Amino acid sequence: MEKTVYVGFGEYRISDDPDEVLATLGLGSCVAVMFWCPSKKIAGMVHVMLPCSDGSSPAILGKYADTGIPVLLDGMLRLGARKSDLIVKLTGGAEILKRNYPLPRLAIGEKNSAACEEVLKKMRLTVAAKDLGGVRSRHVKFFVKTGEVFVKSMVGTVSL
Amino acid sequence: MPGYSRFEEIQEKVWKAIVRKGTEETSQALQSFLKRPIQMTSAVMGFLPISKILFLTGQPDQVVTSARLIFSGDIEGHMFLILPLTSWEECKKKLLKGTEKDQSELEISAFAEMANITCSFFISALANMTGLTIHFTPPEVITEMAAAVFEETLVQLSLETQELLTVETTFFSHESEIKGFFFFIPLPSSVKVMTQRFLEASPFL
Repeated sequence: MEKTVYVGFGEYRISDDPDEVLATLGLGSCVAVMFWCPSKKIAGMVHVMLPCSDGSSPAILGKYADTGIPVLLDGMLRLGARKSDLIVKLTGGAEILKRNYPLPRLAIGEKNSAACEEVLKKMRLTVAAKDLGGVRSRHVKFFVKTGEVFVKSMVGTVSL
Repeated sequence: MPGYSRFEEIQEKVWKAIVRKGTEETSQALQSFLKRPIQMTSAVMGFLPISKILFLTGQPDQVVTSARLIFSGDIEGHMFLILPLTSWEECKKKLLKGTEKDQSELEISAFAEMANITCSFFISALANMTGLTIHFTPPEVITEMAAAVFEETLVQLSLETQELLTVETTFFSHESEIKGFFFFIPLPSSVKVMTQRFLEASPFL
């Protein structure tokens, strides 16, 4: 039976339970980074809120791209995933207020997306699929059993 | 609302008094803006972990129209006026009656005005009771899934805290299908300032 596990702000979750669906809600400027190991059927998701920790040790490790993604990878490897097998997917990084207020803002979504891609590059991980940017928020469902990702916004659902 | 904790007795007493006055004023303002009777439920308040705030409206994937106002001065924080799309459609019938077909800008403006009125009455009541100086920004209006409207606020406030005082009031009209939410989310440092100032102003509470 399908069990939905919500990954909140700055949290990360790793699962090898085939019934689990990792989900995150209201992803605007935040980015969901997802790893899936097809050989071991292990999935992990981190809900990145901000690009860089600036060297501080955050109370919530998943909060920043530069702390959250390494901790997610470490957890995956500890559970038996193989780095060379990992399928990496990304979504989020929107600027939802830009829709009604086009003036320049902090562009946190854009910075989060760029930071996540940069961290992954440094870790020699290739992004297999991504749905980043735009002006709409996203709800994400990531199926542990299959590695499928469904991204729902106000204009419809896409799969990654 | 699940997850509330650690709301000290004295703070609770003070905040109940502040919020009661604020919501009374706010409901009168909404009533006169929407030209129909509006009831407001007693406010629910307490400290919530930021990850629970996404669930405040009960249905995180419901499409809502929302306005956010950021307040500053002696205290800081964010306020939200949120209406499910069906409720906003109902309000628009009255507010935008007889206007042209392309209403997007007008709709944003009407919602912003409703948020301005609601929030300014709440803030005025609060300022009058505490003597604090409080300013707020123009409303930012967005139609989105409910969980998303809180995100930018939570990203900003999470730099200071992992738990926020949330004051939630639901309002509705028996006359028509209108239901909405008003949220007042001060920074933790502002909660202390407000409690202190209110106690100074009302020492016999």
